[in-house]
Amino acid sequence: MSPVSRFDAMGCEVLVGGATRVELEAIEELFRSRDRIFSRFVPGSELNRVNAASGEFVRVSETFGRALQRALELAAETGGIVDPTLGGALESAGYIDDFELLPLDDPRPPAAGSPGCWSSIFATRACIRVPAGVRLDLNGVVKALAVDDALELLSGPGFVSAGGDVATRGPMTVALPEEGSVRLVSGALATSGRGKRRWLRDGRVQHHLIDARTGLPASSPWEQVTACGNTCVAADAAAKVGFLLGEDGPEHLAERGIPGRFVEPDGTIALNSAWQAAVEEPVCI
Amino acid sequence: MAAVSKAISRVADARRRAQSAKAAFACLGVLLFAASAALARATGAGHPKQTPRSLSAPEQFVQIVRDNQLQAGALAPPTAPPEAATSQS
Repeated sequence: MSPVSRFDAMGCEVLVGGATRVELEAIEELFRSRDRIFSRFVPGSELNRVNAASGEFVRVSETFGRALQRALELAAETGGIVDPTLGGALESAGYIDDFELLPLDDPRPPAAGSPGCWSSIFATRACIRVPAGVRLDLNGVVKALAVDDALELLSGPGFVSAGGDVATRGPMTVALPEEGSVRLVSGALATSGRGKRRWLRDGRVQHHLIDARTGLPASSPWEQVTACGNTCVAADAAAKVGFLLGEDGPEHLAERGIPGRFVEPDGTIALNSAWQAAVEEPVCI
Repeated sequence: MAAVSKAISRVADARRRAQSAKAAFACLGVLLFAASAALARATGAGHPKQTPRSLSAPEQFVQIVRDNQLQAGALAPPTAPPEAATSQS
């Protein structure tokens, strides 16, 4: 595999292994174009245009329509645990700027959150309508989708990692949060947690993982959850579901055969049965 | 005078017959064209026999794929030093 290349995009570091120079340029452009379309913090982004036109039918680009469609399918698949309509709730919690620019101890109190309402969205690939006052946030699914799409641009074995979400073509060993590592044979690993993107509002801890039922930052016994999916989108959604479901997370993922690794605030690590089974018995390839 | 008026009348009659013949010929042409088009539509290989539908996967298949979006990847015990790391973003 050729040396690992790095660049910054979508508010995180992107690592690419196994890419030729031309492939790397295409991957960089892919991430930058997705950022221009989907960032809440880029003035004039397509996402901001859609959010500004809530309550009206809006024509959207194919890329936007595809990402929203995917986000809505995930919302349906997870029963609304992962919901793309929580942009307003994130802003209410105080996530109103690039995280690097966010005041980490804001004396203002957080505003009341808005619960998710993904099922009220009308969407085709070319035209959507978001209920009045609802603001989309597609960051999670878009970053994971960019990783999956970038992996498709590699002509041979390699991997793409963005902000800690890793997708691979060909087996590779991946370091895990806190300690240890695992061999990712195929698919992707993603980690979601409240440890990194957290801030204070009126002395209360806020973070970016919103409970769609309340519209408020979720309380969970887990500090971070790592999940393994067949794609980065699946891994990212599974990690979020594992975190947001709290104590039910490990079993919920295990019932679907998804390996999950759960880290408690004191560093204690719990593996669900699917993860345990995977690392105990080597996979023949 | 009577002979002149009789000649004019015969010319007018002839014109009327000619117009009728032209109209009948035109109608026949339209009918023939319509019949040919209908026959071509019904039997020609390049013409759709029923309302066209977009090419897409069967609904049941789409539903199954949709219901299986959250599928697991494959893990195994580590056999080498890590090449990348997963962490919360």
